[in-house]
Amino acid sequence: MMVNRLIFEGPDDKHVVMNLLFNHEHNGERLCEHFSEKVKDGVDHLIDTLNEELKATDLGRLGVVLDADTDLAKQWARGTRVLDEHGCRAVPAAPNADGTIVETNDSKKIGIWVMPDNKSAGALEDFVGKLIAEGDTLWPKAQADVNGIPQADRRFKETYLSKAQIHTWLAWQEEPGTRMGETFKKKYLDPNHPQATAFVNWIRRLLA
Amino acid sequence: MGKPLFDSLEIRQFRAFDYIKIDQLGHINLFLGKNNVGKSTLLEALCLHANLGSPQTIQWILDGRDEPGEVRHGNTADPTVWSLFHGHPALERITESIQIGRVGAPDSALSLSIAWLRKTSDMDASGGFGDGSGYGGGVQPGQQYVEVGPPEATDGEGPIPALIVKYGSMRRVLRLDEAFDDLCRRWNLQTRSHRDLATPCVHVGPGGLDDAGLRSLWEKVVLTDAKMDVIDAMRIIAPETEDFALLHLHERVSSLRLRVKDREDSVPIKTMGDGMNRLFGLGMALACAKGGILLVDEIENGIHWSVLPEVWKFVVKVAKRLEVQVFATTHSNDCLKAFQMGTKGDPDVDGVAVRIEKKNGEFSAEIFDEKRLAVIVKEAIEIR
Repeated sequence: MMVNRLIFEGPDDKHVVMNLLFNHEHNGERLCEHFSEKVKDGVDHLIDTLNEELKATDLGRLGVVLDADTDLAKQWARGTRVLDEHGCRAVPAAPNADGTIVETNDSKKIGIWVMPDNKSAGALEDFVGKLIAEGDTLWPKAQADVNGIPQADRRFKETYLSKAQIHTWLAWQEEPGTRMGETFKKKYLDPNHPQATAFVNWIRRLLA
Repeated sequence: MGKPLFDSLEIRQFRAFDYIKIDQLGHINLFLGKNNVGKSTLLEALCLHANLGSPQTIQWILDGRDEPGEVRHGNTADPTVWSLFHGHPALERITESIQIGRVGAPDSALSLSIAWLRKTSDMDASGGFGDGSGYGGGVQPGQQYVEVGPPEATDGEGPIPALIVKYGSMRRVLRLDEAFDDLCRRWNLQTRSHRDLATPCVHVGPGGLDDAGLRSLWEKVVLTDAKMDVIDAMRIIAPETEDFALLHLHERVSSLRLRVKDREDSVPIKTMGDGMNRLFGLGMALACAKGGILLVDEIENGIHWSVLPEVWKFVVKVAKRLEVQVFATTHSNDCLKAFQMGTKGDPDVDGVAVRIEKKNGEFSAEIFDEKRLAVIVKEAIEIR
């Protein structure tokens, strides 16, 4: 039996994406039910094992969710080198802003989404930050408060700034300690926000 | 462990395979692939090679597929040997030879081809046959048959079909108008130097050893150290096993009995379930394949998944000691996982999984060495 598969760098990415897909439908079923998911131990592990994942004999469609981190172009090059080696056709030099979809030489669809939005540096937390409703009063405050911590007092590294901001914002919600993946269920975030819709549309194109 | 006997495999024109190449093989090999893709045919090819194309092996292959190796004189029935050849062509249309050997090593290849023979006594005074066969002499003194082309017409007293078996310096002619039993008997009379070219080879089918196979292996194992390996195999699932013997109950009826700890009477192994029978067969076959190859079709049959890692560890351990190259087939993912676990432990023993595929009419073999297998098992990637 062929299986559509989504591959993530870590558990947080999986929870956010699968919860988002839970709120959308495709052919009468929840979108999340169209996929099995696989969580890797970081981006290096994901890229190191991608070659074998592409060759899995039970693979239907494959969606790969990566973080751009500090260097989108570098991350893109790492991921797409594996796709090139596998014989994927027409792999673009830079990600498509709507999410990239290529085909293998035996016509399997492979999708790549680079968090947060296929054009900016950043990671899952930046994607979640973009889903916060316009006019939310706590979000600018959470960002400003974290930004206001003097460098000497910050215990997190610079690249974790958006992580610190989003978890600060989460701590101020109705149930502090809510995990990012549960924010749709608790209605802190709107699964139909345009940024979320862009991701969902990429998933739909992958299944089409 | 030394270099394996087959470090690669290349087959031409044999049964389902017009051509297949396996670039890498290890000491312990597991063939994967969908039903009907040719996994068992690979084992047959290896068996045929190990036995230098003996008529016994040919008959075993044909019998195994309900194609009895029966040959009748004249053209009343086509000899079924043709079904060894790819595409099952009529005998007179077989032009290409079956080749089984290592990749890029023509010297290692066993070759089977069809030739047509005529008695030299049928020749006319000019040294030809006067029938337009175009044969123009060159007959050695004492030579009874010469090779001619395939018959033009199918009726009448045409030339006799023969299977030519070649390996290195060996060249044997098996006349297909003779009964297989006669061919087998004559094959056994071959010279010592040719017999020494053969490789010990034991095949265990999906259902285990049959009674005849069991009896012949028993004779090789009884009163040898190898018997202990067989007991070890059975102890994987029945630690209480102490000894075993083949008892002749009546004429031609034998029963394999076990001595089990804390029991006075012996226990027939057949009462102990499929797993015990499988492990017994594996142990016996491995012990008897010393210095050669062991072929096991659907190795996981009858064995609970939880003991498969122990089974592979046993196979690796004994195969290493007895210098046996192992080839098995499986459909089971648990078996593949266990294979990886069983082969990774010993750096001297090279484990290779090979997936056989047929795409667009062409066969291919994907090699999974131990490094790739480690990733595949850890990441639970489907490769069957």
